[in-house]
Amino acid sequence: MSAKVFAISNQKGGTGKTTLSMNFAAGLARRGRTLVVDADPQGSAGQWAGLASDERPFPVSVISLGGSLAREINRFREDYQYIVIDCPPTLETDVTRLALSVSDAVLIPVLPSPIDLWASIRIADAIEQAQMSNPKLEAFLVINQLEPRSALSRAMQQALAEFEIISLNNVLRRRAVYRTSAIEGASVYCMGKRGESAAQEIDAIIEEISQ
Amino acid sequence: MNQNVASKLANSVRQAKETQVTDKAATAEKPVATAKSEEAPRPALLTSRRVWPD
Repeated sequence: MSAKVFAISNQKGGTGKTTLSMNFAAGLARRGRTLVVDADPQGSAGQWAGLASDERPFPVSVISLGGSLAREINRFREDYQYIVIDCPPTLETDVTRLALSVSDAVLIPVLPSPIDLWASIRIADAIEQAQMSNPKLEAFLVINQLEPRSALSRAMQQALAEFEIISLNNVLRRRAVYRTSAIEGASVYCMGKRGESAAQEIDAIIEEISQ
Repeated sequence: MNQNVASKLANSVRQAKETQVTDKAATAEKPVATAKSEEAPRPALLTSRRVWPD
C-alpha cells in the first residue's frame, strides 16, 4: 500500500483550507485509513481534532509537521491509504513547497469573491514550479461557500477558467454545519441530519477527483 | 445581468493575471543596485528643500 497524498493549499487565508482538509479526510477515512498532516503553524487542524469528545473521537489522526514533512510523509506512505496535508496560507515557505513536492494532487479552495480570486492567481505559478520536480502532481480548484442565489457565485466557473487549473464541477455550498462541526471536533459526517447535504458534497468531490 | 457579472469577474481575473505577468517582467528587468548607482547625485528636491519637519 502506498498512500495517495493530497495537499490542500492556497496562499490566501480564510478560503476554507482546514474545513476542506478535515471533512475531505473524514470522507476519505470511510474509504481507507487516512492521516491528516497539519502543516499550518496556526495548528487549526490539530485544534479541531482536539475538540472531539472521547466518546466520538475525530475519525482521522492528525499530526503536526513542518520542515521534516517530506521525509515523514514518505515514512507514513506505507501505513495509510490517504494522507491529507493542510498547508500554511502562503506559497513563500519551504513547507508548502515540500507538501507540493510529495503530493499526488493539490486541492485549492477558492471563495466566490473577486478579491479572493485575484489573491489566488499566483497559485498557478507555484503549481507549475512544483510540477517540474513532481510531474504527477494534479491540481483542482474547489469552489467553497457557494451561494447559488448570488450572481457572483454563479459567475465563478467562467472566472475560474482563467486559472488554467481544472475546476471541479462539485462545490461546497455556504453551510453553517461546516463551522459548527469544527466546534464539536467532528466532521460533517457525524452531524446527523444537519450534515447530510454537506457530507454529500464532500463525497461528490472525492468521487470526482477519483475518476 | 448575470452574464454581465460573469464577464466582469472573468475580466478582472484576466487583468489581475496580466498585472502579475507585468510585475514579474518588471522585477526581472530591474537593474541590480551597484555602488556606482548609490553614488549618483541625489534628486534636487531632497537636497534643496526640506520636505519633513524636524
